[in-house]
Amino acid sequence: MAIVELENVHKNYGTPVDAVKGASFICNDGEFMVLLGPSGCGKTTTLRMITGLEKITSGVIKIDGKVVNDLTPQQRNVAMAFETYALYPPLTVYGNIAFPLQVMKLPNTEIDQRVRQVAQALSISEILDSMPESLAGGQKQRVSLARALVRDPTVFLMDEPLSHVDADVRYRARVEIKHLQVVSGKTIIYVTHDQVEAVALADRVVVMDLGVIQQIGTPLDLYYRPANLFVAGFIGEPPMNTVHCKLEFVDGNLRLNLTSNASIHLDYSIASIQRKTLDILRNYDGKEVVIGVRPQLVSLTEPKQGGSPGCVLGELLVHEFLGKEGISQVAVENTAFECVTAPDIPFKTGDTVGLSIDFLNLHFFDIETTQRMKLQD
Amino acid sequence: MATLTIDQISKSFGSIQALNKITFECQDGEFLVIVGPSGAGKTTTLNCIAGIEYPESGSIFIDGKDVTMTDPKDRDVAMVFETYALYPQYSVYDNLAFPLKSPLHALPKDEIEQRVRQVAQVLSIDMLLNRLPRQLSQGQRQRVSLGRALVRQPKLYLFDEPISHLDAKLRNAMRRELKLMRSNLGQTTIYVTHDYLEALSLADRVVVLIKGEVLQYDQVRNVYNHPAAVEVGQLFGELPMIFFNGTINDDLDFRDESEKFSVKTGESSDHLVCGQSVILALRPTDLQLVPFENGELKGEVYSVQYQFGSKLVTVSAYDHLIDVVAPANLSIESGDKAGVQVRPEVCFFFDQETHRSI
Repeated sequence: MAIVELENVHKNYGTPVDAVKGASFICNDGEFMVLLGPSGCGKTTTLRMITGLEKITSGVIKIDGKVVNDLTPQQRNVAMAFETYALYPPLTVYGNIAFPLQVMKLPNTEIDQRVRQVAQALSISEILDSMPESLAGGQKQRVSLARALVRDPTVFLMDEPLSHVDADVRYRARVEIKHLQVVSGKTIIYVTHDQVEAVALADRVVVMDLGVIQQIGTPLDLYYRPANLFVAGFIGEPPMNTVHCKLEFVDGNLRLNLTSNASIHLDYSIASIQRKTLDILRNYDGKEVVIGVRPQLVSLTEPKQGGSPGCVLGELLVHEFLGKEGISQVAVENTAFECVTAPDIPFKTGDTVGLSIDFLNLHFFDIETTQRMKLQD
Repeated sequence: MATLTIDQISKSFGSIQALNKITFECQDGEFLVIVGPSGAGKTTTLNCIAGIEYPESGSIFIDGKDVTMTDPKDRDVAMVFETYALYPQYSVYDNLAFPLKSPLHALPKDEIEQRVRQVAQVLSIDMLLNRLPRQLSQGQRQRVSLGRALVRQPKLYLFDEPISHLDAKLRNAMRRELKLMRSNLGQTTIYVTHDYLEALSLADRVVVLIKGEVLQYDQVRNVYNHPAAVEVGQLFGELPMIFFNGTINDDLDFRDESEKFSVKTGESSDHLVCGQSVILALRPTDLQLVPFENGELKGEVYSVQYQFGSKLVTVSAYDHLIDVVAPANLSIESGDKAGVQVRPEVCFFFDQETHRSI
């Protein structure tokens, strides 16, 4: 059992602005939670406050319902894994994994049993007698994980454990970490700046920016229901297309004027839009909003469909062949849209093409608050 | 504008053979990408072209002229390294004009101005000429840095991993930026990278360099769709390829070495011979999850990860971990039994001895 709760936690380093401003979330027992954000967003500080390596300025941190604000890291029984390769070179793999248990002065038979158990879970039983220097990167990774796990901590905390590892090893290690977490049922809080890693591993992600939690949600929430413009732009690759436009209701249509050129607009028939959605959007009639659409959800079409609902004409700037897919950049006047396509497309640079966007794939953001409008149920 | 011919160049550092009889050519206006893992000899090749290093044997021709042993300044090539090496105290205009003011070029003022404005227009930075570098976005800075190489109008551009130090998100954006510029320029360019996406996106043709040898020299699409060797396949793809050793049986189908499963080879069997020892290679994006009984490969789900808009399911089978890309709404968990469908057309076969494509 291990539940980690943060209630309105602040951290101030003596500067006018707090490094972490009122972080609140609950990490449930057995949950894999990832703190994600650009550098300087406060994610590592948050993790260090949970570990006890950093004092909190105000607020409450609880582990299993017990306030741990004033407890040392040892008393909290949490395990922290930093960089991966911090193995003791003179010790064998076995010696490295056994080390934390020897420090705890456990009987040798129990140490042996626990080391072998965790080694088996991580498929490193056959290298227990090897020295660290003889191991491949991925193996070192697993030994390092094993050493953190063998203590059987209540909570497992990881700070960018894969950030300095080669891409292929990182990928393999990700599979191992995810497998391990499901098998062991441990509570994990994990910090990364890499959105691909965050989405791959997390049950839920806490997205942070400038010390403030922007959104807490499942990977699907972040992708399909981003809370605001920051999350919309930070999550997803290529980033979401976002465009300032004027919204108006004209001739039974919802019209989105993408540029100052009055002839360039996206039209959607009012009849095709849910009532609740319309009620909200009518508040913005004649006003500016930001619309967003994922590059994966924009279709490139023949230009003749340009005048039809949900379509706009543009000029193909460039198309990238990327093997399993392609990415096209299309200019609509001064606005560039990116769309993910098949690897090859029947258009070339300079061609006029249609961009087709399903209304249900459009996101609307309030220009003042940058919050996404909740239009659908 | 120029052509470049590299003919059988070799180079070693002590006992290490850095380049082993490298041969390729780059046509006038072509964008050629040299791709390979670190230590492959990419930068050494580029340095030989620039004249920073000299090959021990073989020849280098620019526009048909042998430049193998000539000085860098006599080759008229421009090397673009990192992106942001701009002079912070100079305006964009002065940054662009700088190379033309060097004693080597020392052009008259009006010609400098004409060239700077021309290049600025091509790169769409003509409205930024009075700004300082810190007032620019990263994409704009990249364009200025490239512009500084362009004003010289050399015969050949050489790029050495210009964007690989950036984080993934920025790198993707910069790659698209480069692609845009590339289509406006039409200059003969040699571009070195370890990132297969840059190679696929930017290149006309690709040279795959591994351990000092050219394993494939081909059109972009062929390199991805028909990798010439195991190492090429490993290099091209977001998720690592999966490899199985095995033999071709009497029905010309693949039988894995542990004798636990077979895969039909379909039309690719044309080049296969009964009894042949081969490596079967599969791309995770080509595979499909199916009910356990229907799979060519049968196993148990080892882990499930999200990707954007899809799930990445890793299946443990026959002592291998097999990655499969599945729809995001597929309901599946660790420990479930799962089958993996392998259609004949997604199989790549390589010779076990030579690692060459069959």
